[in-house]
Amino acid sequence: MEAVKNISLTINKGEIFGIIGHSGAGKSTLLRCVNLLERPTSGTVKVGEVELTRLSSTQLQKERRRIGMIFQHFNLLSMATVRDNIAFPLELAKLPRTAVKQRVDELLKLVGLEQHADKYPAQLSGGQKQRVGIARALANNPDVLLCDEATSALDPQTTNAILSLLMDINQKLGITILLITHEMHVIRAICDRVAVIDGGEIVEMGDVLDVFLKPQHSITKDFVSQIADSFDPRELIDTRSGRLIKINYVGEITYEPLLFNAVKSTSVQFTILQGTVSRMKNTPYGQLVIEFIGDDGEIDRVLDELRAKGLEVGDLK
Amino acid sequence: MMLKQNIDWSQVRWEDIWPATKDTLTMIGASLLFTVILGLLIGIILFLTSRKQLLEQPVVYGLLSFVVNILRSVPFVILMILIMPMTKLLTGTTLGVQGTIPPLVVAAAPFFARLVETSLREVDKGVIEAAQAMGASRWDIVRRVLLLEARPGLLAGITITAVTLVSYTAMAGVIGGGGLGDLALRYGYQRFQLSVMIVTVAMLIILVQLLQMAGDHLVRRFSRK
Repeated sequence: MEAVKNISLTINKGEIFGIIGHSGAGKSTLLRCVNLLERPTSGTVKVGEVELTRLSSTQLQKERRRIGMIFQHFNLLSMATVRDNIAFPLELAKLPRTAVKQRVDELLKLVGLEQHADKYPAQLSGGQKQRVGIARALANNPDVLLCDEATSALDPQTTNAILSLLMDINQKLGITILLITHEMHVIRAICDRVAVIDGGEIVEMGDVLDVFLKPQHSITKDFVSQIADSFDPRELIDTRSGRLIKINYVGEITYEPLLFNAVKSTSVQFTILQGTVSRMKNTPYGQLVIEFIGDDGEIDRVLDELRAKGLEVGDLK
Repeated sequence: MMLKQNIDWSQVRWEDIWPATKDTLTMIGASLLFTVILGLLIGIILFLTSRKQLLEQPVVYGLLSFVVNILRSVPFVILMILIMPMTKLLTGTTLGVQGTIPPLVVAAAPFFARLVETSLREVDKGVIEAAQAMGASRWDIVRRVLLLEARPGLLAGITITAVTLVSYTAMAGVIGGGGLGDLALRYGYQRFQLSVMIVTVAMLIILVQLLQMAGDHLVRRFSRK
């Protein structure tokens, strides 16, 4: 049985890369191949300059300290305090006791759990447990952080808090983050690039903005529709008299009064039929469906002006 | 009224009861110690070599499991007699406190090993995976993860084993094992001194109660869930 096949994936240093797929698509197996918790039957895995698939088990144990990992169900030692959980990887690395204590204090501060150092995992909320998991994963200053559905067991508010912590860590420490999820929301919030996996193969890959705004594969479209409006404006084509235009834009122009400026010297009027104005990670974007009412020639000139400003404009079909 | 006439409490000689109690405690203490060491070892090997575990070895697991099952199926009294040559070799005698400890360990260690195996199976696989991801060796996982996470279960297992040992030591009296069982047998049964029987049984009951209470207390103290 093959869980994943023919996958060739290069993650750039310092980026947040997301892999999205339905359960059973093979994303978890793929993630576990990175630190060889799951050993691929063929192929190679390279992290930094080191080819992990070639290492002996002792060498691999050492290399794994450069790869942090967090889990959906946190996987903390239930019999150890928060402090001891975070100290665990440091003790494995045989750090001297005073250095362990100092590093644990730093990490507790980083994830905001100073108050809870002596509690046991059972006394913590889900979000706090994941913070312990993150602190533990970062203990040995890894270059890479693997996130296995890290927010899937959390409520939406906690999810956002954990996601912004991950983005913080990525920016402050320059750690490369590879995450898997089945929620498009997670990809949109923090990822730079995304791969869509289905049936053990990558069906689509690219910058989150591109994949999100112009999904090609039907699975990708499924995921995008998770966070998009479920209403399809094409249903309106027959009922409206004006021209229905779809406009996409990305970047700072999102916040400029472009539509108003384009129509103000003409007699063209417009109505927004459907629209999203939001952010993808730090990039603002908008997707609108607009009905323009007026003279066709004038409407064309308005559209040209919008195109000249860098907007992507096209008739809704 | 009948009872009162038949029981002659004057037959109870405390100068015999106390040393016998002490002997029983010594046998339980010493055999429990060896049982825990040996049983932990066997239990850990059973767990690690079983299916889908860190050292999956079907042949080793099958063999060890078979031996454990055999030792567990032989009734204790018969086991004692069967291993007498080994007991003699180890302690120089098959009698008294010393002669009882080897058969107690041989009988209780496989029992405890199964309890250890079951407790280790209860440890969340995700935690083991997390430790592997952090670069833990198998030995690290046994020592720092399995034994830590399974602690409440192991303590409960030790308690059950200790209580089982109490009844085994009493049985050991049948073939000259010493302790309270021996006393009950020689005075209570062979000389019809019912009072001695009652006192020894009472001592055994108290012993079991104390062991169980101590064990429960420890389990509670180390539970974090």
